[in-house]
Amino acid sequence: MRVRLAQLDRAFGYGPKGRGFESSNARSTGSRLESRLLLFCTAVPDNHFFIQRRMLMKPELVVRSALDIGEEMLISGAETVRVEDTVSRICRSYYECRVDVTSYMNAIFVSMDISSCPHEEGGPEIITQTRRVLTTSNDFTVLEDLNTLSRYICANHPEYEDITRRIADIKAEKPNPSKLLLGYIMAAAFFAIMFGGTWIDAFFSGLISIYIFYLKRNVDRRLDNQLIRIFILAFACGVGACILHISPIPVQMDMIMIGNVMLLIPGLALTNALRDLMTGDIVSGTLRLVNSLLIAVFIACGFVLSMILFQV
Amino acid sequence: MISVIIQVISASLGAVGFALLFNLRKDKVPYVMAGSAAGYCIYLLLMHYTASTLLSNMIAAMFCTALAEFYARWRKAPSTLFMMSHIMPLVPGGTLYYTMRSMVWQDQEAFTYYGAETALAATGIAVGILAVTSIRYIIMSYKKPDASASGGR
Repeated sequence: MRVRLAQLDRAFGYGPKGRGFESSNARSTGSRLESRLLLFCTAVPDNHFFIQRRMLMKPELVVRSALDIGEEMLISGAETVRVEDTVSRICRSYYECRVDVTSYMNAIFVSMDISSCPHEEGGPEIITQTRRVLTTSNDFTVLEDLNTLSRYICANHPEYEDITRRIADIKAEKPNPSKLLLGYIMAAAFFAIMFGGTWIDAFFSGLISIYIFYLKRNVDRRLDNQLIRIFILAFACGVGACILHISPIPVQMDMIMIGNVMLLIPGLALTNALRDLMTGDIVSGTLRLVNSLLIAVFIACGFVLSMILFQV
Repeated sequence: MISVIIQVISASLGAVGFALLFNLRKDKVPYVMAGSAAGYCIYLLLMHYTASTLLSNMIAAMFCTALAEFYARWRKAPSTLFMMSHIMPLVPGGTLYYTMRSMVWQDQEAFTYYGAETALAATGIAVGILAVTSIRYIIMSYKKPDASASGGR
């Protein structure tokens, strides 16, 4: 009797808590001579090299390292198609076999069937692993580095330790806070102008965005629930805009709010959701669509609460 | 005219702000600046002549994506980085905000108007991006028949 191996990994987000695995391994029992495969291997002229190169890394580790990269890509804001493509390319660069990858907004499932290519005697034939991603953010530097790394893996077939070390190196490179802060100020100030605000609006919009930036860093560390985080930030934004509105400074409250709301509002997420829906990733697209609409509603609630408090 | 120029410049600088916020490498910032300014110019021009939210967003997004694909080939980086930064000024953040505000204030008329505008803009951008991506897959399938492994998505 043959028992197929199923390995389930659950990743606990990306942050100070680190990553823990709950693996349940069922090792395959019983073995059968793959005579067809042996024939195939002996038929290849330089079969020694062929087997050596192909057998370098265990299939479980191939899937795991591919998922490590896929997970980090999903966290740093890659689209569904890119994650699926990268994971399946990495798996197929080690074992030329059937690989099925499904990725949603916050989960990746991979199943690799290596029964048709040379593999360890008595080892598992079908490897299935899943990952759950709890937090997502956009980090283009990480995305770029991961893209380069996946190209390197497909071309050079490095060992598992090498891949793990490189991923750790990529993750260790933290973004410069002053660069992010500059981004916040620029985005808030210039979008306030773009939507029809004056220079005074832009100045105060930038000022509030500094406050939002530091508040966001604090809130992100302490709260897991994305909707509540957004609600708190939107409320803080609204309070700032309302105080300015009450004060004698001649500002348009709407423009200040729009400048800052561009930092929070899921316009990009909404667009990506529709894109996923149209490419045929119905599940992923629906998840993203519902998520972005919920975020929009929570932003509106935060703003309205601050307006009610200040009687504006 | 001056106001349009200011609008385009601020759109491009705002897109740069978002690129920095998304932690884009500094050597790619000039490309984002040029690309988003050009994309927003096209959007404003089309908006002026056709007054169609869907069409203007679609064509502008097509241009932005095509430019991003070109940059990606040229600078050897994933096209998403450039594309997301380029379409940032087109993204319906402002109208989405107005939609939500009118929803909470129970202003039915404004809610319908802004909601439709937001949906049209988002749909237009998504269709524009998809059109260029599909064309890229078709070209790739001529160059390397087995390259489009993910089924032309």
